[in-house]
Amino acid sequence: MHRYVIRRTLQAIPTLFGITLIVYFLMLLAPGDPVALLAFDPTIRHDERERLAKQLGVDDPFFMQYLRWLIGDDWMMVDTNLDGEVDAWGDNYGILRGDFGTSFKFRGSNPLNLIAERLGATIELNVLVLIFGLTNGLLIGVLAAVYRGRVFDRFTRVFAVLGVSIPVFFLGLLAIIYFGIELPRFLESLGIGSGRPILPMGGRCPPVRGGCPPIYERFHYLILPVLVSALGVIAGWSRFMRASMLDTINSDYMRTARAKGLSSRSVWFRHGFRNAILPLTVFLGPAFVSLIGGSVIIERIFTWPGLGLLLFDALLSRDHPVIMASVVIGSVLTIVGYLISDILYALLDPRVRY
Amino acid sequence: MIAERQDMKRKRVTTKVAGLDHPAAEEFKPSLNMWQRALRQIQRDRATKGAILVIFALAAICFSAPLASDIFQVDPVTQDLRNNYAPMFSPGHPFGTDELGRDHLSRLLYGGQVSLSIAFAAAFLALGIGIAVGAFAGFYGGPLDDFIMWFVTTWNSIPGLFLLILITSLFSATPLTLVFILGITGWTGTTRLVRAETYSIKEREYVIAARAVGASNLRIMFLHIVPNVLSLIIVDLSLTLGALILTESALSYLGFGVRAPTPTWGNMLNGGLDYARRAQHLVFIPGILITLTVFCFFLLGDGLRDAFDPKIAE
Repeated sequence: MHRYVIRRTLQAIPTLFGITLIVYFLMLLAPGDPVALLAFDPTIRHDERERLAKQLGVDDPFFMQYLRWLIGDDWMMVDTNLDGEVDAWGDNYGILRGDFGTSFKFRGSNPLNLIAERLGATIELNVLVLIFGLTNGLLIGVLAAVYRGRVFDRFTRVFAVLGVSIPVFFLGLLAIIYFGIELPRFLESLGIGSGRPILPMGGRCPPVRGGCPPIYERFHYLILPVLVSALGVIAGWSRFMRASMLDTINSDYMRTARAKGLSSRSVWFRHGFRNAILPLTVFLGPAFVSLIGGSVIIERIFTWPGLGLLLFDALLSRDHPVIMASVVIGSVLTIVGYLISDILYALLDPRVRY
Repeated sequence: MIAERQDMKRKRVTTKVAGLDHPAAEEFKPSLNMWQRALRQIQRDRATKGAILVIFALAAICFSAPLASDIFQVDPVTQDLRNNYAPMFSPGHPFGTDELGRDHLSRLLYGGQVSLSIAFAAAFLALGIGIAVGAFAGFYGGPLDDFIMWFVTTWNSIPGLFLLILITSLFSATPLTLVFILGITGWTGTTRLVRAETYSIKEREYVIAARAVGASNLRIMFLHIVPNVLSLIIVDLSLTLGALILTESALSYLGFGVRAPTPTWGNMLNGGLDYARRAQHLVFIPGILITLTVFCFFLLGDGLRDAFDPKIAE
């Protein structure tokens, strides 16, 4: 087991390496002069500009630039006064040691610190979505398998396809229209409430100094984002669970359980459910991963201050260090998600030995 | 053409059997091939037939946009700021107008054209790349396969939408560039599928037979192996189309898709929150159209999977 975990973790290294290569290459394709971006000064003289370009190393070959970005240049002497001779140690630590440079927009701040502030919000939201989505999706899936071919099964089938077809941003807009505008308006006409939205329409907590209060004090802020984001999870997992459940029905241990006269609830939930849920652990990683990807949309609709919104804002303001850091950290989260779901599967299923 | 050949085959078989002068010869029916069986299965499946019908109807309506423009004397770009946020069924604008007073109906139709065209073109591009790369990886194996799989794993590890908005923010998206971007980011799933199938098919007897008569590797790959994966690819195409319409609309909603004034169903929802207060049909109609189209493609994909599944008995 330990060896499997170690080997699986080592496999992530070439992937991580490839991600940094892709991200760096894409950013090099970005239009616009990096010198102009860093030192925005239209009056800059031509020779001054060349000097800056040399200092920043933007004229160096791709591989050198990439290497400097990846592992830094503090281990080598660099030419700081541009007299053609190296004279001082570099001061860049490289992203492998957490140095993504400094944000253009928030002068002087390390992109990793910006991400650290936001990451908690994204993880909090998506873990809740997973918990809510999985419990409901699995339950619906089991019931659909138990009552297969009946009305409930057929209804949930349509619901499942619909649930993955409806764009998240459309669902979010519908939720805002209904809970933010229509329902309060209707309640007001009945003389209840003041016509103000009954649930917060965005944000993670009321705008207060010193960060957000603990989660149980701002639960109402989570309701809409979690519901909207979880619909797709519920829809997908109810189908996975139904298929997996139907696979286990014909196995010998199910027949034995039924033959020895166990109640049907015990047969379905103790014998069927537990075994049917095992193969689904491999979908856990991809589910988390697609939620991370979708966080841009859900965080944009509900102005949830997470990683996705950070990336969105950074793209709009062309804040290159923050863009690169967000994409790399998002990918690291993805890799960790796949890793955990693979290891979990190996842990839970004693038949799997790698 | 194919039908003709099928017909000739059937005739040949029947005459041969009839030559035996057997009483059962008249009732002889050649067994159905995969496509005929799939077709028969679909004919029985009402949901799939409905989905096909709706997709064709939507496409036909969208591509008759010039006709609608003629009838109602409207076009998707003319602005009329004195008449913005017109409600449904207002004179001259059967579906109202948006925040700039542009006619909503013609924007919906032209937007549908753009959205559907992007999805189809990008899906074919993605599947083309995916099939070629997957066939090469599965057929040759070894270091080439290792490299391709490393790349696919890496590509998939970058959260999909992160990668897409990064790329689309670098190149300002026109419908054409968006096709390329969606195409070159969306091929990895097909590659995995085709690679896995190629791995198992390349050991079959008919592939060995083809090699024995001297067929080249390329010929074996694309004339003997890929056609046998075609049923999986068709299912994949339908699901990819649905997924691409969703992706395109999400990108456009975020403002990283096709830029104004070109309408797509996604970027028509761009001003969503303002619409929510002033003219909710501007949210509902494009949203429902996206959902309906994607729903039909997913339903079609499900139906095709069943139709091609040899385990599902007649």
